[in-house]
Amino acid sequence: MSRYDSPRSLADAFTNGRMNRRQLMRRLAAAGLSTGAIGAVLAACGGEQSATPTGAPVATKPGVASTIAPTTTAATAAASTGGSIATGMSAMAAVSSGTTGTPKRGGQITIAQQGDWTGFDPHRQNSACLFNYVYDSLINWEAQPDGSLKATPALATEWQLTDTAAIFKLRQGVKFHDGTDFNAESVKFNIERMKDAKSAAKAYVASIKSVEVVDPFTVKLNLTGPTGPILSNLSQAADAHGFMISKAMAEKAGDKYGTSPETTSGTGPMKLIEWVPTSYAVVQRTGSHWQTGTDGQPLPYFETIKTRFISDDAIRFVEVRSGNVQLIDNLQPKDVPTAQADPALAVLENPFQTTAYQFMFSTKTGPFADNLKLRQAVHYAINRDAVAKVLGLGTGKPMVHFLTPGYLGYDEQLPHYDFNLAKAKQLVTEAGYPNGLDIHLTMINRAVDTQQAQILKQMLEAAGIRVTIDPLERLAYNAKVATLEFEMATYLTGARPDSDSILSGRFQSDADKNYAGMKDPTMDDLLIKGRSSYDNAVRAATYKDVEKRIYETAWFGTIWYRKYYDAGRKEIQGRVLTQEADIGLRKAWIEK
Amino acid sequence: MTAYIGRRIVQMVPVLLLVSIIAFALVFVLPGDPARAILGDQALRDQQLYEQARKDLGLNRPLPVQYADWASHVLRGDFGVSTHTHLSVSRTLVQHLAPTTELAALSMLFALAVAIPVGVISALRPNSRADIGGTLVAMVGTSIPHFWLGLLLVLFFALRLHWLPPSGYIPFTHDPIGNLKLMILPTLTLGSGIAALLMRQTRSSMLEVMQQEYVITARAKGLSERRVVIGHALRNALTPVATVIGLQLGQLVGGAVITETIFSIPGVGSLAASSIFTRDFPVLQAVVLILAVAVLIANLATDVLYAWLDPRIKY
Repeated sequence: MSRYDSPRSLADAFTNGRMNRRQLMRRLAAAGLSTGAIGAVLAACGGEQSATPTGAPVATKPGVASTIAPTTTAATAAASTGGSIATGMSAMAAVSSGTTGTPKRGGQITIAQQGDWTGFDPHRQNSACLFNYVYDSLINWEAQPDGSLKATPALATEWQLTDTAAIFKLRQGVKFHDGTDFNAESVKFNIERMKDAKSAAKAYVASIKSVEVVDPFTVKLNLTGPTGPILSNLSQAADAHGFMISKAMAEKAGDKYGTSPETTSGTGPMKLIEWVPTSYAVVQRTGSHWQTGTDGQPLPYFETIKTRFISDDAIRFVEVRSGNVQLIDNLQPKDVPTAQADPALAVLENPFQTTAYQFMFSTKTGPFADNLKLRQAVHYAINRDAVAKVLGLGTGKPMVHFLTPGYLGYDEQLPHYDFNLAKAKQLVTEAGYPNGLDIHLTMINRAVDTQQAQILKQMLEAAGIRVTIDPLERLAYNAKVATLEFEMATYLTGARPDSDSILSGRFQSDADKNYAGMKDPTMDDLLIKGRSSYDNAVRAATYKDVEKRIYETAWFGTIWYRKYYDAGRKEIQGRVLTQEADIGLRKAWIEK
Repeated sequence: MTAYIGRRIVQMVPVLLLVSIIAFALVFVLPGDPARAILGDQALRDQQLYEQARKDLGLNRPLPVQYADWASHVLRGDFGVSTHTHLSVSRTLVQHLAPTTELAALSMLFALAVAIPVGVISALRPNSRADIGGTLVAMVGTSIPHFWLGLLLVLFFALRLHWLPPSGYIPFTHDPIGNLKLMILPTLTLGSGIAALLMRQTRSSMLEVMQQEYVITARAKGLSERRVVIGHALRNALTPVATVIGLQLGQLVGGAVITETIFSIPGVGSLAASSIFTRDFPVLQAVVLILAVAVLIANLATDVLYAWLDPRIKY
């Protein structure tokens, strides 16, 4: 074995210039990697360098993060690893499309996405599809060749984390699309805007007390305490909220920011040039981005992306099969086999994005509010394997914990509820209902949710819990959840960048997604402890305690989860999926 | 005639007033409101934030006050600002009216082009193969729901034959050929139901007219069958057809909501659908009002058309 024996070290050798592309490919093949996996490693380490801005001495090598002396031991650990979190994701080949060959420049990629978008304001809206092209974040939360997710430099080139502050050195020479400079003032403005009343990003910046401009390219965030997830919270992965917008434009446009190409300005590789609400949006290459391709020219390789809003799953799928669009998001499980059998299509599985189906009980209304045994009975009555098999169509897996494999604190040995009908029946009796009882199950009227509710109804009725299903349209459902006027309800949820964003957002008192309305001081303390450390071992142990507490209180339950797929025409090469709700086109090209 | 049209327009005023009240009040029947739609999960546990958003949107004021404010702006041509996109509602409406107008016009043209000849032929040869075939097609046309027909057409013409693009919209002024290619499937989807109805109407009305004495007289005068049918019978048979066309306009709008959603056409129909899901009250109210006005105008146009079709009708 040579000293370059792991894909990771080979990739590093390539990135550091100790090996050329041909040598790298030969070594990777010798190490037993498939062509697809080799392509993925190449794409992940880019075969690219970040453009060094004029005269700016910045560290741009991915993975080499901190150069400022950290002040605490914990911070040293975090900074030296760049805040890396092992996700346990198996192979990079799973997340990238065929990437052999030389990137070609030019062309337009047309994509069709399921969700409508409300505008282009990343702090106040959740319409992420093109945000990653119009904007940059301070940090990139990126997949590494070994399958972990890690903080890599984006608009911040170096950082230092202490118990009371996070200090970022910023990339110099970067301009917003409106011509204004990106600097420490921009960061201060953006983070303060993420904290304001109208922001949808508040949870991600809650631990930032204030922002200080140290010099034009250094910014200091004063923290309420050590903040374990601070780097992922400021990355593109934080529900696409952590992007930097132009201060000048935001001040000029006010509430109208992001409502048109004229009021949208980021530093990303593409700028918004057209937007017809409820129909389509077009972004165009700026030609001046700091990230460069293999040919040394700014990314991306293609000229424009047109994204169309097509809510109907069947039509979206027909669009990509007919070649009218080249890429669709959210491929439904039922369509995966057809797509895989189509020689013109490449199906990509995104391990960083899952769809999980879960349920909760109201802490205020109905028989579950003061009856732990009854709640437990429901947990035991659900056969999660069966639901996953029937609804997942080969893509589903039963879910017994709130964290999925790879997240800090995930441990399959932790206590959980398995299907046990006898125990469920016994608990219903012990809960004070020897003759069973009638309950209402509230759900959002979507195809899979409806089928799931019907399955749950049968399973619960076997345990003596007679179910009336209340299907509601989304906002009607939200109105019920807000007032806790439901008994039991199901919901679905997506992936988050960190265990903290998964758990605190759901189980902390008054958290946005605390649909049950639970208020548990023990849980609150654990969640605060989990995020107030840079030590991954401490954090992992705490999150295990959180999972135990969720099990004990039984306000929330898990059912199953499925992987996320999208489908693209094979002519699109070099896609790398790294985060939730992104289509992975930053380094992609069209093979003509 | 002019006096009649003037009178009808004056009569529209109370109708419009009533429609505007209904359009305004209807949206408040929906559970959930724009504040919830905008804030999403954030509003679930933060009552203060929710109340503040309601206040910012003016939703905490009494309904009559909100109505008076809205109506006074509408009278000045200002429909307000979308709570979802922060864009001017008037601008958004104008943007979305063109595709819907095109779709509705093409669907109606298609329906007429198919329904009248087929209806006439069916009536002239009742119980013939052509008549039975036409009736059968018409039955299928009225029975098939738009969403299903739309999907079938897409699967067949776009996926199997690759003749036409599955969905989307390009303005006619940008690319006329591309525009028409994209409009074929939606036109067939939306137009087929109306064509079926009009065909049945034309057939029964023609059958009735063909029994009239003036048709016998025309034949007795020695006129060609073509002149008898087209010049004498058809014109008279079209009066009830015109009524149906006028009534179908409402149907057309309802169908457009589904058709535009399937074919992702950025029209008023898809705007109405999305504004319902996002509780975008200003947009929804404007759409309902504009469509009501369109139906009123269409009814007026139908009445005027009667006078042209049948000179005996005098207003």
